[in-house]
Amino acid sequence: MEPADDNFDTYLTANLEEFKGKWIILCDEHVIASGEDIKKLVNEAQKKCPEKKFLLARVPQEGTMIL
Amino acid sequence: MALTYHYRTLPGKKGTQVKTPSIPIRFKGNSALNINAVALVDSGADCSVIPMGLAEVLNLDLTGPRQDSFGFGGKIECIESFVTILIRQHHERYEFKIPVLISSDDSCPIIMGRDRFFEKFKITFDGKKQKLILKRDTS
Repeated sequence: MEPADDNFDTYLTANLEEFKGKWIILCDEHVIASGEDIKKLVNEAQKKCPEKKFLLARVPQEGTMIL
Repeated sequence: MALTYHYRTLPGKKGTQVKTPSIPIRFKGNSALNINAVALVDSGADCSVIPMGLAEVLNLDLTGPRQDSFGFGGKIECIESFVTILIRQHHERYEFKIPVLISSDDSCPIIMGRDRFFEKFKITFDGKKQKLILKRDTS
């Protein structure tokens, strides 16, 4: 059986207000990197959390999202 | 069996809240690095979309045809490509390759659209229970 995805659970429940409009990376249930450049964030995450699984997510701007 | 995900609550306008149907997906490309990322499931999108930054990390093929894609936010230039996705929960695990549009705009969210994704599952948007349910359709 696959283990539960703790980083996704954190994404569902965490207060991410301060990251609105940014990409974030979650690892060990914490935001370890945030910003606009995905490549830089992934590099940062690999340095901060080597050997660990991390989760990339976009925190939308406040307001109604119509795609 | 089915994969079930709770909606994510996001701040809306004037203190309101918006619920979004999102799922965790592992993206695999031509890089040694696979990326777990949150994707919005969007039945209104013709095709799946990922931002250029993610495509570059995954080392996806960026030589495909270019096209303009249209949405409520206007026109975005995209490149047609393919990516392998892995969706898993508990003992269920599904992996397949889907066509994807790579958006030149990195602020574009990751979107799972209909083409080749909705055909793999019976997808229920349960607004009352605020859950997204994906049931593998093998028929």
